[in-house]
Amino acid sequence: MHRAQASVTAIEAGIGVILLMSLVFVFVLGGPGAQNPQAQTQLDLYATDAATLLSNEQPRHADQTRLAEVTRSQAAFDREADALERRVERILPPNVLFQVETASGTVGYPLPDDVRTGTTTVPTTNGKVTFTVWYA
Amino acid sequence: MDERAVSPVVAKTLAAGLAVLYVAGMTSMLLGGVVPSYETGAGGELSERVLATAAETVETAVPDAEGTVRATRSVELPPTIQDTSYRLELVNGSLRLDHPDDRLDESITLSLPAGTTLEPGTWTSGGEFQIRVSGPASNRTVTLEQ
Amino acid sequence: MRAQTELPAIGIAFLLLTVVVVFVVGAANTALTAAERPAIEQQEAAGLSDQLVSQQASITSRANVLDAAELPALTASDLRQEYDLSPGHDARVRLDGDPIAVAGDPTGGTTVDRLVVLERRVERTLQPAFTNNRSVTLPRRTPNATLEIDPSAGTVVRSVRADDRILLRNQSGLRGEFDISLSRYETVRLSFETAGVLSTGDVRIVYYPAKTRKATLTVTVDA
Repeated sequence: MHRAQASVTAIEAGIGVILLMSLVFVFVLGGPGAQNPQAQTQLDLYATDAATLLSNEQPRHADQTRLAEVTRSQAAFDREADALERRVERILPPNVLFQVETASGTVGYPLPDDVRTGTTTVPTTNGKVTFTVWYA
Repeated sequence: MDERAVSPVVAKTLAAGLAVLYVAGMTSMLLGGVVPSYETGAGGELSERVLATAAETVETAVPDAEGTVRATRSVELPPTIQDTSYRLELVNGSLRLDHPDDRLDESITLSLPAGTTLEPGTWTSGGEFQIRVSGPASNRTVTLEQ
Repeated sequence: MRAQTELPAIGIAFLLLTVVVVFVVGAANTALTAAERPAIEQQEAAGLSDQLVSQQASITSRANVLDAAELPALTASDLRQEYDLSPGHDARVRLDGDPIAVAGDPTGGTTVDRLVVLERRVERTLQPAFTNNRSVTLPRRTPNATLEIDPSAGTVVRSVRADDRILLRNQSGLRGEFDISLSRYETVRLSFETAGVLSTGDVRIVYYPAKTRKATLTVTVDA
């Protein structure tokens, strides 16, 4: 009885091709490192711009600028925190979330763990204020 | 039974020899043609990025503060690009990367506040890239240091 | 007769391998070009936008605050000279999507967005009634104002103060048009020291409050 024998070489070749192709597709489709590097620069610029606009803005009450006013004391912070949050929300584009940290407290959204952020820190007469922004 | 084409030993040797020839041929073809162009491409990317990092260091080194300042800022740059050392030159408002392989030369204009003077200078790769800024607000001088 | 050698199978295997290698090289090429990061374009775009929104720029009145009167005057040669655009690179500056200035012909390239505030100065006039006192508080902050003092007969305006600072003083009487500069950070209370009674129409104050709206300045650089 003559039975054809499956050529082992062909099977080996087939398996080799599948292995190689899978390796290639990992690189082509992009591993986890393939992210947009421009996003980092843009986020840092958003944070810097928000900080600059708030630093130079006319305050609602007496102190030199809005940021200095908010950081002056714990009572001032409690009073102004909502207004600050609304103001930052209006300044930033709609798809960007933020968090502003001062010595008296934090306003904004909770910071997720695994997301790319841009930050900047501004010194004011009453302490440091840190702005962190990220894409929603 | 004597109509066999070739004995198994010879068949396997032939197959092994063919495989070796094939691999050698492919390797030399790839190494000769495809790989060097990728090396240059990667080298070009690297030199661009090195220059951008250096330019960013210079631009952020100049502070906005009033009054006389004296500040030094440094950053680590790769010691070689494509296994050869390169030079950074500060000349005429721009920063130039000079590499022995001329395809990797790049240049970028620096964005500095008005009234900043750049002292022409050269930095050779291998150490840290240092920038010194000194002077009053109206005339800040930027110097490259080794 | 059985095939004793596997040579045809080996040949086919090598063919498959060659096809795979060609495919891999093509994929590597795609991956390399896709991963191209225009680092210099990005650095230039960030640097150019930094200069455009900085305090010393001619189109801004403060950091990140664009002056609506100066903005249309931005030209390509300004971009190349004042704002340090590289001679070989092209750029386009847009405000909220509308092009403001274009240097060269940027196609593609890298873009950065800057958050800014567009400020324009409007003119408001106030004629205080002086019913109970001789002072008036300007309702908006203004960096300067123009006073037209024209007192009716029998009234002499001796001096004008802003908060407690004396701006104008003339013992024999102030009359006419005066430009005064004020603090841009606080609203000001102007008090008039007079001999005689002040009434409506004696003083006319023209002041220039700012109207601001938020905007986005988009800078594109093509190397």
